[in-house]
Amino acid sequence: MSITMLEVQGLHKKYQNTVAVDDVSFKIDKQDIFGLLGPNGAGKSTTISIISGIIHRDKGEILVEGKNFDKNLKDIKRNMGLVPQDIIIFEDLTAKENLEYFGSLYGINNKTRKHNVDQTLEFIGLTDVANKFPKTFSGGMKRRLNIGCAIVHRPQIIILDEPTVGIDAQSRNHIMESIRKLNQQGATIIYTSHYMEEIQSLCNRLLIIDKGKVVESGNTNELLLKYNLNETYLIMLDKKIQNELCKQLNEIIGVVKCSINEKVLEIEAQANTFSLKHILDVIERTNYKFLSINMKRNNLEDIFLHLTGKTLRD
Amino acid sequence: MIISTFKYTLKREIRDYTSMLLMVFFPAILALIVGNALQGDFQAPKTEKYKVALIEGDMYMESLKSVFAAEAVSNITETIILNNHSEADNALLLGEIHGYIWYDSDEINFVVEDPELQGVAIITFILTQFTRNQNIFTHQNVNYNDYDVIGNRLLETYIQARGLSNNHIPRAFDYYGVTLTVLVCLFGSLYAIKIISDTLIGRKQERLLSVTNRLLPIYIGVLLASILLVAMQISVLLIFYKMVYGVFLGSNYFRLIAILFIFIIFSNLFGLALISVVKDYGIAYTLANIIILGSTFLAGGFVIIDLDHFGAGRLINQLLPNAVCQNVLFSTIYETNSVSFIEYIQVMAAGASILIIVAVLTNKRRLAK
Repeated sequence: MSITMLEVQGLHKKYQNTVAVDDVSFKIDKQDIFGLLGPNGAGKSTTISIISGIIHRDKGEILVEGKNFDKNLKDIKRNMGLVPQDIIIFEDLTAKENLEYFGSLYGINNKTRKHNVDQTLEFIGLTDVANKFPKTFSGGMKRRLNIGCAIVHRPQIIILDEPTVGIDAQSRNHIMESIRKLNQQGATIIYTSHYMEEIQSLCNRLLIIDKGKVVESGNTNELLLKYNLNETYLIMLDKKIQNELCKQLNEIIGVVKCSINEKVLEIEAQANTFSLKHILDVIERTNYKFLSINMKRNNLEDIFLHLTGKTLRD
Repeated sequence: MIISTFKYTLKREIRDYTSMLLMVFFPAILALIVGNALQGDFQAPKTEKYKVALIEGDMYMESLKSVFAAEAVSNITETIILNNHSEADNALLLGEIHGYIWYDSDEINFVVEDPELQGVAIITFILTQFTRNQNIFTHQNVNYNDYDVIGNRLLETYIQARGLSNNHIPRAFDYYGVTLTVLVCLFGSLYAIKIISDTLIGRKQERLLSVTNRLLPIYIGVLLASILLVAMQISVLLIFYKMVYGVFLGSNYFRLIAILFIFIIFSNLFGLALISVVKDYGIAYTLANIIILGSTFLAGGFVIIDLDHFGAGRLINQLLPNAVCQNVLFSTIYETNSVSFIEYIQVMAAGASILIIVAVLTNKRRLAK
């Protein structure tokens, strides 16, 4: 049976005349990797700031491991690590000193701190540059140190607010692997990112918010299936395709759209009502031979755009 | 949390070479600029007494002789008695005396060789007081012997008015050295503004708030580091002034250090209050500079302005923290007891309380949002 780590009920926050978060509720189980998605200005950062204890909410209930958030805030903060979107480290302290200082702020004693700092340095891959100043680091190294400062005290809940912005593929991969490792070690992860493929591959549960309200939430795979309404097939034929073929294909039940690009046929069809066999029969009947077939299913980005729209946000 | 914040803040700031260099070199550069302006006063203190001749005359000259014979005056001046003007003129031409005084029917005349000499100012002051007071004494039939007491009292008044010590002939730089020290203490608030905005403003504050509910220990740690750095800087500055320019600092070093340390704490709290209210490093830094220089101007640091006829001068002297600090420093260095240490502590405590309240209220208000 899963244990609830964080439960949020009816969260509400208003800034002057703008409602940033409006009646947001969600539940995160222990060892979940929980993805928080939303376009710019959706209320993600406000939600994160509230559950990290940085800003006060106007309304709503928060329980962490069943404990009242406000009454146990000191202990909750010591059991939580926030990796902010911006790199917030001290440039004039070495990597090791940064970790030591954050460790001391989290209240861990000297002996444990020393041990944790060494382990964290190894975990974030900065042991070799432990005594160097972050100003000499690359963007990826700084990001890793930024994460290190939030996990040096071994928190049970780790909140990562877009931790992979502006870094190379290697650092990004290292960070993703580290998050998986932290999760395997027992940490509950709350993750926000604009990179949908990251969230799709990492998170087992999702919450999509827009304009302060919850738009959708649930298990990642279930959501992908739920919104996988259309499938797209790319079929390569042996010769240049005539418009007549498309006309015939459009008559098949379930086909939504058919388009031609020389020898390639692109067919968009409803996932549940459509039969690939009918398409292939028509192709053969009209004296074409297919050379290859590729299928593209809806990914998280398609679902996200479907739910939040394609209008540009500020 | 206080100790670790103090320790790591200190490390950070010491490694910030630019600001360290600025903080150490700034006072020295300022001293050099002021030093250039007061070049004549930068020479080694003149041990030579001001030599003045008194020309024999009537009973007023006898009274004056008694004044100049008083111990306090004779420590600064050397008086000789001459019979007539031609003797005095000759002595002046030969450089045996710096000036001479004679009484002519209803006025005292003072002939000087170089009106810029410090001794001239002192003697002029004594003569002004003497002529102002003589009618009272004449009326009261004061015995000539009492002029010894009068002489001491007159010089004491001069000391209190100008901050001079019995045993020290001050140069302009003695005065400006103290003013500059107070100014640099105030500039220490820029350190507080910098360190606090580097640690506790904006995104850094948000990150720290995700770590702990209580920012107060972090504020204290940061301020302690800033106070220590400014105290170190002031120590370097005082040693520099003393060793390089021979600035007169009196003999009560313990009291001197206590006064300055209290003022450093005050100036750091000023920085804290300012950055708490303004929340922006650039604006706070600019405002601090304007306030510091403006208040130094009002406190009579570099430009002496007479605000007494507006009734504001006295108020500024009693309430403006840097004016109070300057006054208590002069009072301590020259042992005039014109401003008591307790009075100073009271003013500083009142000012510090206001600054702390402003900082706490503005931070609480911001965090509540």
